[in-house]
Amino acid sequence: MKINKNVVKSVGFLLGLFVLLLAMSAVFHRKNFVNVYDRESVERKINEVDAEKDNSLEVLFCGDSECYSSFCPTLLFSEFGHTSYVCGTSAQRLCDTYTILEEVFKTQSPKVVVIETNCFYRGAKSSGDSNDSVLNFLTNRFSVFAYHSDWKNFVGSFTGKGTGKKEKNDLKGFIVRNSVNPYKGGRYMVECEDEEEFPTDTYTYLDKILKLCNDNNTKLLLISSPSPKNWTYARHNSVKKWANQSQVGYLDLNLQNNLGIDWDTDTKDGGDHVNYAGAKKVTRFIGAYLSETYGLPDLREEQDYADWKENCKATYDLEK
Amino acid sequence: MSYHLLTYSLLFLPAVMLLYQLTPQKVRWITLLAADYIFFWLISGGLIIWMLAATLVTYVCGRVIAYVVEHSPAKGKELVKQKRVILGIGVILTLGMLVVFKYLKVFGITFIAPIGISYYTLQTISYMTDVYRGTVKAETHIGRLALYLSFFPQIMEGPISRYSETAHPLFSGKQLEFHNIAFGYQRILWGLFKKMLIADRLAPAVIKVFSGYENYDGSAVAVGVVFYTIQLYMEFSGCMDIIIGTGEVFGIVLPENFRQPFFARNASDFWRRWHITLGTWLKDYVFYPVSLAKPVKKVAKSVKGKFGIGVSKFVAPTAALFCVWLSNGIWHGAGWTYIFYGMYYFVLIFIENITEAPVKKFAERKNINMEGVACKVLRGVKLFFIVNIGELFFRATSVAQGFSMLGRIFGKFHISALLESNLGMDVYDVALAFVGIVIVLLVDILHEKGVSVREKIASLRLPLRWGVWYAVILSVIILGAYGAGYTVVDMIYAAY
Repeated sequence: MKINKNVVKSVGFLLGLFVLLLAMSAVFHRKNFVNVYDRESVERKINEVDAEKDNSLEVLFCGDSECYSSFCPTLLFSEFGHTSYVCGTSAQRLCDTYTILEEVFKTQSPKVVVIETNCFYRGAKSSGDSNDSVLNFLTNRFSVFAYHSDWKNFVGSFTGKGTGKKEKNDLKGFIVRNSVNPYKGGRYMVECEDEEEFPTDTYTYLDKILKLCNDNNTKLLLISSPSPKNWTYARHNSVKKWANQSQVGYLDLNLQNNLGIDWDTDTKDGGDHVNYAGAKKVTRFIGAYLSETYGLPDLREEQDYADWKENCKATYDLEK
Repeated sequence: MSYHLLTYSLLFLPAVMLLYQLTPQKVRWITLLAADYIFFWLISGGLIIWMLAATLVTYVCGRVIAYVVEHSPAKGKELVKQKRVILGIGVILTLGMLVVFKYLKVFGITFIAPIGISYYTLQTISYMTDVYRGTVKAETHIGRLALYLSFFPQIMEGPISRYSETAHPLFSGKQLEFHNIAFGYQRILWGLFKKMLIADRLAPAVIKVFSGYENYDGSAVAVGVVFYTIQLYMEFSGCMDIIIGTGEVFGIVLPENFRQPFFARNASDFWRRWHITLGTWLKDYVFYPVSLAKPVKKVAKSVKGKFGIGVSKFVAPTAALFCVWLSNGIWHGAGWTYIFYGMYYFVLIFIENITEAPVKKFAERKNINMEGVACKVLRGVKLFFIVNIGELFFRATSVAQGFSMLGRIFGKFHISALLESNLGMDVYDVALAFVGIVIVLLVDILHEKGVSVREKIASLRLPLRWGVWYAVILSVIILGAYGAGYTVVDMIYAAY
């Protein structure tokens, strides 16, 4: 009799929990940003770009941390006169890249969209991709698991710190990293015929992004930043194959000897990301490439871009 | 597979419970042992062979010691000598495996270590030593010994239990009980709360500060260090809650590894409350043997002759203390930071030992109430600095980095720079971590006062009781640092 009572109690408790999960899932339900992985970062980035003057950006850089470590928009402007913005976010998935671009295209008409290719291997699932299979199962069935971090938006809407606030970023999305931790692994781009396949949804989102760029008369350019920790020849082959098939430009900086990266001084974390010294080399290299390949104009003397000039002055203090 | 994954608590554990309950009591130990080895296999695959080898060596060593005791014609010192040789061979073999997997990397030779080798090796040594000392009888059933060495909740992070504590309860195949399951899962939930809500939330700031401290003002470095101490406590004690809760589900009482360490009076008291089972293991199998060793006694005697008893009484305990803290440091890994960490505590505890009596006398003479609020606050502040500086060196990649960070904290500290520092946590994360820490602190205060929070909750009326547990479950689900924007951090102590 006692056991039965306990069984009834347990079932009752679990049923109650199930109802609560359903109720919470109704609360944590999204009407927009449904296919976004990291809503908070995506919204923050959209708001940042929204704070820029309309149609003022010529280049957008997308991708994960490789992106915001490698491309320095203020340096690109001060040395080449091209306006750009880093739309990269930490561990960015292509589903997030797509959403950011979709929103940014509403106010900007960039001539080139650059995607740093490391994010191709992160997959593009908007939820349920941890190594915890039960958590993935629950995430795919109860939206409270997928969108639980939206509590910050709820709280923010009460405190006035919520989303929708335009926040200007003087470094245009770039993050300065001055620390040095050398890479000691030796040569890493060993030529081979192997290909490392992308996760399947990467192809879906790449096609969507390409279409979005084409619809907005924007060129898509893929760039692999120098990163011995993340990049291999097999990955290079796969990106090159998709780029060739889709007639998209591809620049693998891991194969550019004249880039001049010194792995003793130009990486902040043993070859995972370049530091600011490395970012300067990358930015100068692609600055020249963008000017030459896409004929982007030099806007340094344009009155409309005086504020960019001001920001660039700050760039020279970044190393301090 | 890891204890903090829902796959463990909501799939693996229920499956083991079900199979365990369906198995006849006499052979339940086989189900449990199978679960142990499957769990081990899921993490370390074929390296399980080393675990089996350690079990076999331990079993044989115990049996041979028992045989010698029963059948050897030798008596007295000769018998002890024979036993010591057998124990020495057993310890060398099991410790040798640990050395090969964990310490040969110092010479550039790297192997992937079997999971939990640092923990189960200590259990093999304690068992063999206890048989040698005659405090436990040599095990005749290898299954019982194997269960003791490989119990799946303990294998990754301990607690380091003794044969006399867990071997027999594990083997007995006790029926699962509703009360144990409920209480066990409540403890698991509390562990998930600490790990997912607090520890993993603080992780980005800790990583940022320790990997790029040169980019931060001393104030931000100090915050990063304090966050690391909190992260380590929440993570390690949280995982212990999950582990001990799992044991509770099967009616097994595993030893506690934490007892409100931040309420300690001093460094030595801190270590009686932090990673308790490692501390007691080192006390029983390093401190006592060293302090009673003949060469140490000899040195103490000669010191007594030269400097008197006032000095000589410190010789044996100090030599033993040195060995304990050197072992503690080395056990954590083959790195100078760990040895420094061990020596740091050795020096502090040594100072505490030699100053304890004079300080007490001084306080009595000056009529200072050592239990007064002011003294307690001072003690708390002192302990705060001691623990955080220790953890700074423990987490730093080198001793030089540790000093460099320390220099930054004390030499370039501007509180105004803190708000401008990007520590990878937004205002919500900071606020939530703070609330979580306060909740854990309140629970720790209650535990320190001897109040069992779970018993208190269990005594509430059903709607209120369920309400509390639903609130904890939902807070973990909604406020947990997992999914987009967060990285679930692997268990820190599983790496040692």
